Amino acid sequence: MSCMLMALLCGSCAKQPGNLDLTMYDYRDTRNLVQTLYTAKALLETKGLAGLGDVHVDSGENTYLYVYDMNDVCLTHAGMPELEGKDEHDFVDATGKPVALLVQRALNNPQNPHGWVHYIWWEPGRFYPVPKSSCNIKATLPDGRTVYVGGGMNHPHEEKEFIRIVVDSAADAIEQSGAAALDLLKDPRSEYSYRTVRVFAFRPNGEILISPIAGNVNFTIDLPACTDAVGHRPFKRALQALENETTTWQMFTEQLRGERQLVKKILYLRKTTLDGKPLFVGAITDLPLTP
Amino acid sequence: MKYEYRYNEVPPFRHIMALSMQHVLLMFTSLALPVILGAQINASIELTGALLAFSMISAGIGSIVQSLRLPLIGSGYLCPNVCGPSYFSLQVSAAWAGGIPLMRGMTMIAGLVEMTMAPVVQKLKGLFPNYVVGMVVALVGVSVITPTVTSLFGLSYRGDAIASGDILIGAFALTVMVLCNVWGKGIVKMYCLLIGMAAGWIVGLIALPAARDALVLVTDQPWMALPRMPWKFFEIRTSFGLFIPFVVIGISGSLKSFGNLLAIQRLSQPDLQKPDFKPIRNGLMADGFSTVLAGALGGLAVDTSSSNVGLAGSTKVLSRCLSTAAGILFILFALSPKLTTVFSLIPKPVLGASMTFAACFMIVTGLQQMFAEPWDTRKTFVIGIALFLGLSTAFLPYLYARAPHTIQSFFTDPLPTSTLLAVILNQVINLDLTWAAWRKRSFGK
Repeated sequence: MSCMLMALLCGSCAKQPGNLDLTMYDYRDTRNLVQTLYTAKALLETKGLAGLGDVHVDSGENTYLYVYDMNDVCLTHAGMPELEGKDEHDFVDATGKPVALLVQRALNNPQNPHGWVHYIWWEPGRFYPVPKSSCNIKATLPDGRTVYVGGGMNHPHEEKEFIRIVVDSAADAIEQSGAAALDLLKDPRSEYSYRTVRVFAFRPNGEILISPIAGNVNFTIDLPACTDAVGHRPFKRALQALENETTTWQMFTEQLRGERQLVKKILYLRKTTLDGKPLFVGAITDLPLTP
Repeated sequence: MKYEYRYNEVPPFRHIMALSMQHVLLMFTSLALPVILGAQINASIELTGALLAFSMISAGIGSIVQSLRLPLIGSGYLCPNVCGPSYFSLQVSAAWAGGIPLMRGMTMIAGLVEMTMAPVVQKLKGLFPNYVVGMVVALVGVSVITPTVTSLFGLSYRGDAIASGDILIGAFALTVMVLCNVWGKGIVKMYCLLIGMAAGWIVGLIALPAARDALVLVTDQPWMALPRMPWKFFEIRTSFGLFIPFVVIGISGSLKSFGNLLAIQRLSQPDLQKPDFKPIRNGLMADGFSTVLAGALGGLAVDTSSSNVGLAGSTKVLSRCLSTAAGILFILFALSPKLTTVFSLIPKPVLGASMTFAACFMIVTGLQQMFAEPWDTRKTFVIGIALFLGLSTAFLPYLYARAPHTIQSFFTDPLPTSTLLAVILNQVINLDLTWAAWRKRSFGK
């Protein structure tokens, strides 16, 4: 009994990387993963690949780490050792997402400080696909090579931060490349679509450039008039908020089959410009459920 | 039962302060609700602060009124008020649909429903034999299992990771409380909850870096600040669409408070052969009044607290002065953001431990009352079926989510569902006895 208590206490007192702001994440699982990766980064930078040691695998949560060089050649992979030494640059997931390319873009995206990438993977040893979100950060080995270390969560929680990243990145892309960015934003294989999340864009006059619900726009949706399960108009309220702000979060409810209580969702909307005219870019995700 | 202080006794002032502080600490467990509501409606810090302050003031006034024994209001028992978790989802929906004015209006309607239920309950006293009352009391303890256990494990969101440190802290705090209560005598026994919470908090500060870091929040808060109402006082709205859900939740809240009041009566006056429904009626009136007041002020709906009733039972301190003092302290804390912040930083597992400790007494008190009289197969089916179907609402929520609306309205939570079923079954299964009694009364045979 006393050994168990000591183990629990030691586990809870484990040293975490300092000065790491994780307040943007609601879930402990997400924070734990990012902390683990920063611990791994510190070990890699001081001791090299051999230094990963115990943080390499946490079999209890089926979380494992991998390290790739910047050309996407696998250096070590705790979940699938058979990948070590292989070039994964052209790997695409079951939905056609170019995972390695998305990781490279995430690593160089200032809006995505922890390199989040969402795709379909599988649990090693199993035979069915699972949704996965992985966090990737760069590290410099003692020999001077730059690599990236990553790890992911199967069946991940939907964090608000994930849609903040894709919406802000989409707005940045529109501001930099104009209408040319829209094709990439519409592409379901891009980082701007994952699971049920999809970045959309519309003009103040209601013109929809990227639909929130469909791949093309053959019909009109009056977004400000749309209501949630209790009659609340989240888009109307969001547009009112954006008269004075650049970004806004608006919560709303949805009735799910099999749930007695309404579940809560959230809309993140950002105001930007395209061709000198105002444009709203947004996405929707789930909010955490109370226990 | 050996009491430390009976329900009409007045402890020395120093004991009143310390003992009521134990109750206040338990009452703090419900204050997460106004904060979460503020977050869910995108409220500003000022609005969230006002929700918190007016919820505390309503609960404080409710606790004071409940402890009085006025002609028509107040049970005169130690039964403090807290923010009612059962109202939470509906209040969020109302706030989303029509802002704070609609939330206030609908909360007032729920309170008025509770006040209307009060005299009805007294008229229906024949429907509540002792064994049904015992089941209701036990279920009051059962009804707090979800918030209690999730707090004990430090869980904030469904499906999230559980930290080993939280388990340790919760287990440690609960162990200290239980051992102080079982092995302790006098002051140690009376203050077992306070001692356990302090011990758990200290271990939390040592083991959890986040708990230490959070203390910084305290320094930015002022000692005193009068709450300001960011909404117009007379701007109150209602919605026909939300009327039925709020009436149902008002009735459900009445039944929960009915259970709490029966439990505290049983603890305060164990010599009563049958429940005395007059103080119960007045207690329900006070409960409804507090909810109306919460709506009028703009706080969350308040409800009697099962955990505090359990604490009273565990410490054998039943003086109603404590409810008055706890109410006054709660109002004073509402005016002190610094102190409110301090108590809001108590680690979740410590709060979970204190709620577990208190709920034990509710469950056992109810079971004792249920089995205090001779048992027969009629009671077996009344209680068995009521519990079976009532508890199924907690085990199979997805089943009831797809059930017809009429079923959904009545099969809500274990407590109201089991109570309703037990009352109906008790009448149906005993129809032959009722018929025989009526014949004997009417025809003398």
